[in-house]
Amino acid sequence: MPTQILQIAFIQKYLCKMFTLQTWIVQALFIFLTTESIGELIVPCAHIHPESSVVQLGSNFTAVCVLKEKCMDDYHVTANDIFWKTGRVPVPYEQYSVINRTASSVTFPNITLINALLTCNIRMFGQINRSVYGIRIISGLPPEKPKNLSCIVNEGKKMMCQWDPGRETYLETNYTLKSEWATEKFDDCKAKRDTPTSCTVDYPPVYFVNIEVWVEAENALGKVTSDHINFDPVDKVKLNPPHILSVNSSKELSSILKLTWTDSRFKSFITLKYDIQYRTKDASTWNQVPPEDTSSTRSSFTVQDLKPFTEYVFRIRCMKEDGKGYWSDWSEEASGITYEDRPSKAPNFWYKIEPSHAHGTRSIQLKWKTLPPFEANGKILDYEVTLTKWKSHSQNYTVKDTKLTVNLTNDRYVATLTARNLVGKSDASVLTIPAWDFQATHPITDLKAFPKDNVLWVEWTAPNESVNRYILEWCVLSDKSPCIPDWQQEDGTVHRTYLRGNLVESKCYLITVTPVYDDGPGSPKHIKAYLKQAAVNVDSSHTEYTLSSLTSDTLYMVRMAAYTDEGGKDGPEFTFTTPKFAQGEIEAIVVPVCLAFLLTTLLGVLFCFNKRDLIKKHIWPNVPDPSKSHIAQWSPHTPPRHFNSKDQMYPDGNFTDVSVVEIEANDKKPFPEDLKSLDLFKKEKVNTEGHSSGIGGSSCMSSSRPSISSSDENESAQNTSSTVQYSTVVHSGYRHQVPSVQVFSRSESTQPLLDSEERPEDLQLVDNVDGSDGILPRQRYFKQNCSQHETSPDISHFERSQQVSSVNEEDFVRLKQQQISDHISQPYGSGKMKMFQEVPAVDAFGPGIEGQVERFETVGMEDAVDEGMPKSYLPQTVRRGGYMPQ
Amino acid sequence: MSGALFSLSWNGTEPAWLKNWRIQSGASGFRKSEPGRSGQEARGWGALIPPLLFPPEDPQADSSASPLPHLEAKIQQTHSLARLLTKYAEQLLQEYVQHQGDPFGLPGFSPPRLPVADLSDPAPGHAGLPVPERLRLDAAALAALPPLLDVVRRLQGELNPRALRLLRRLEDAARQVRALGAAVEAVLAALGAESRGPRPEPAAAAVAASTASAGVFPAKVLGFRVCGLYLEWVSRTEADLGQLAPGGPA
Repeated sequence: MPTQILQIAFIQKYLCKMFTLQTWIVQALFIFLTTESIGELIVPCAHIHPESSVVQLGSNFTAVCVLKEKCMDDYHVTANDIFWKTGRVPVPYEQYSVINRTASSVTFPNITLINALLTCNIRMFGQINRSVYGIRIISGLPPEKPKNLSCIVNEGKKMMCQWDPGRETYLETNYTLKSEWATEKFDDCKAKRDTPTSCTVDYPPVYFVNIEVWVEAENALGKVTSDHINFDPVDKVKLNPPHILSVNSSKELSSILKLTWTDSRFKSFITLKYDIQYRTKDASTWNQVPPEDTSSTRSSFTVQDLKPFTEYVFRIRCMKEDGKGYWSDWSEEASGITYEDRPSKAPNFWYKIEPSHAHGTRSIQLKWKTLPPFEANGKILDYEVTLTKWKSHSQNYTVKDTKLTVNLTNDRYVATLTARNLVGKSDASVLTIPAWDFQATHPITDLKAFPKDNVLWVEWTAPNESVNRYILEWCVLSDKSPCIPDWQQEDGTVHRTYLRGNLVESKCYLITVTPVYDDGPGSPKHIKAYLKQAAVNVDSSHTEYTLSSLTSDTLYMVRMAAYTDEGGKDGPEFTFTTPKFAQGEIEAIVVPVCLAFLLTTLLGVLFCFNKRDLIKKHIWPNVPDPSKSHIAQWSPHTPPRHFNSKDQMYPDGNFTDVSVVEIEANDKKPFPEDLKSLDLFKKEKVNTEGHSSGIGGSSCMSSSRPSISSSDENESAQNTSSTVQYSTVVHSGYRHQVPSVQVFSRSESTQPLLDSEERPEDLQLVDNVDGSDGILPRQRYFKQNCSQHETSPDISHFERSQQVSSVNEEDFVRLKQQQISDHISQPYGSGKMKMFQEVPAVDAFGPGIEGQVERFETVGMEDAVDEGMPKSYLPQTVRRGGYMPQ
Repeated sequence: MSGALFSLSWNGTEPAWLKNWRIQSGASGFRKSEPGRSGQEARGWGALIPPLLFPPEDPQADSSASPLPHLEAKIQQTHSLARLLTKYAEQLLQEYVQHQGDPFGLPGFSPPRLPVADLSDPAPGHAGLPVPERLRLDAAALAALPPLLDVVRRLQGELNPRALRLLRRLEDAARQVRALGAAVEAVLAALGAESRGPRPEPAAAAVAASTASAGVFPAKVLGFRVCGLYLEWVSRTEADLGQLAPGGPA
């Protein structure tokens, strides 16, 4: 029967049934298999014994590959053609052993940690190598006997046991916790892979029944069982922590706090003991209540020997009274404050005699220190001071502060001081204030002061007399500030103490120690000392040293000392005062300030230069110079007179000449350049509320460039002299009262034109004209003057008002003048002018201004001047008696 | 209170184990710790005195230092177990009633005390029996209870399949009562009063099962009866063991 050789690549196979649960898989095994035609059974060409191999570390391992006869015949190979590989690495031939024609073995002595594929291969004709079989060999160790098996039963939970598994096995090892009663067995508890050293049983614990527990550890190399432990689960219980209900103080005893808690429900079945700890709120270490006091089940305990008026924090835990099992976790902390007690100590008490100008009395400032909390034993409500003079009544003071100033006579007084809290008073602190002529004696001796451990110590020798206490006072010696002493009190037995104040380094302190006797203070002694003096060590090769970090404007004293190995000697002291300013400090201040000033000035000038027009408008607005105006003809009856500014200057300003202007109608169209300027002018004025100022503004009809004061282009206006000569028009009639002569008076006025004078309101009155023909004079005026830019008939009065206001009033006046002139002697001008109707100007101004505004008629307009005539400006608002600055 | 245990005797003869026990534990016997009595706590607020002047009165701490004799410990443990199971039995009966519906939960409901095979009610007449004899009866009853509890659990599994806690309690009760029975027999053995040989295989389960098959209500009544018997017997066992336990009758 023919055979067919098939190569099946990557046949994954579990080689070892023992490790079916393991994740490793034989990745690839190239084998030749023969297939028989019937049923295509797969038959390997060889076999390796043992089939699966887990090898103990350090042992020898031998594998045998046995070839099938059929393969041998088919491929013409024998056991001599077998070679072995671990993974892809051939095994050295020294480890081979050909057993017979069909079998070859390989031996691995003292096997190390390995997890590899061992393959049996054959070398066929033509040096073709084929793998014919493979096994996975794994090395490891058998499990050790689990040790230290212990169990814990957390109250309300199931029992958990743990153990020490021993050495690493390098193999998958199963740990099984087994448990049983005398009467029955429980289900096994298999440890999870991630926690192979513990297991929690699946059944609830039954207390008071002994249970036997042990652990079985098993892997491919063996199985081992731990020692059995037999226990009552109640002896392995870890109870839930007690819950503190309250911490109560007692008014009768300020040194106790009663702690009340609730226990585990288990306490009805077992006896408990407790562990109570407490501490003050700010402390970090716990105090322990003696265990023997809490060795039985209870629900409260009174902690004693506590400090009054102090907050304590408590915690408690419990366990079985016999010590079997585990302490519970600590309870949540609870706190309580002991009740107040009377102050345990009298306050430190001292006095100071203040200068007094009254004869026969002294001003005494009594001062005392607040009691620290552990001596106050509560909140100090007030202090009671009693002053007693010999054979006289006492004076009582109740003070909340820590000082009291009293005026006393020069007699001897005895002052007592007590501190009071809610519970009671402290002992009295007694202080004798001697009479003014008292001579203090018996000072202390050998007063020393020295720094040590960052504090300033003071040491003295006590006088022979019995001293009640000592008062230590100290202050900083300074030329700048007065000596404001701090003080402290020491017992009469103390001869050495440190100053309990906030002392700073490099300051000289004047320390005074005063003994206090029964009859008053003794003679004080003084000493100066530093908490720390600045000192530097300088190498002997240097002969100069720069002191740094000195304070400015301060007097320093320097003393040099030279040292050898044998000792040192101080040199003379000298003093110096540090300057107020460092070198260059003034320059550093002045130069930047000057630069900043210059820069600011420069920027200001530049700004002003850029905004000069704006500034000019607000400070000295453009005022047309009437002297530059041209009036064509002032009176038909008088020779025309030209107001040439240059020719007609009246420096004395007393000109009161009267002229009559004769204005000829001129229907000439404005020059194109005038129209152009007019367009610009109108555009600006319609869109803004700016108004022209000055009387020199030209109308649209003017042949000259319009002298609009707000226009930047009007250079001539800018050149107007600050002294402006206005014209005064004096006339005596209008229409039917036509004066025979129009009188223009040129006045000299230096008053600038005001913005308000050009406000549209002034002209807005025109809007109120109740013209019978429905056409406002100014409309006509605009039509007349600005025929190319007719005002829209449907614009509002306000808009129109603005438009009107935008026109220089000069034009108005000019128009009026023309009307007057026409009315007197001139017929209407061109036909174009005739399209305008007459409207009484008085209607436009209304009755309110009737007396001020000259009546005039709207007449046809003509160019203000002929080409050959000098340009002139008409006078502005005409009023009786002359012009009025607007 | 502490001496009550030792005033007890049966048949006028004090067993040898008791003599030994007395010798080992001292003439005054054992004192049980009493919560709230030790230290200054029992004296009230007005008479609080520092603990150094009044050391704790309870010598329990000292007694815990010396291990109890094995028998005493066994009796005490079994007694505690009986107490615990009495508590559990009360809870079980309460929970059982909750799941049966009316009329079981109605006040005054008292079904007839039907006889249960192999398990009789604790008879008042047993009070005059010596403790070992009573314990023998207790052990016999405890041995009969587990199969009955298993039957009840099976029945309740059909009637109240969602009452998981009840079912678990029934299962635990069967196991626990087996443990208590074994413990009582161990105590009897230690006392030298062996139980009367191997008991015949209880037929109670079969009889109970047949009764239950009669209908739902009889099944519920059977469970109610078994739970009640369970409570009565563990309670009586607790009382009987209390006669032996340190500290005297509970």
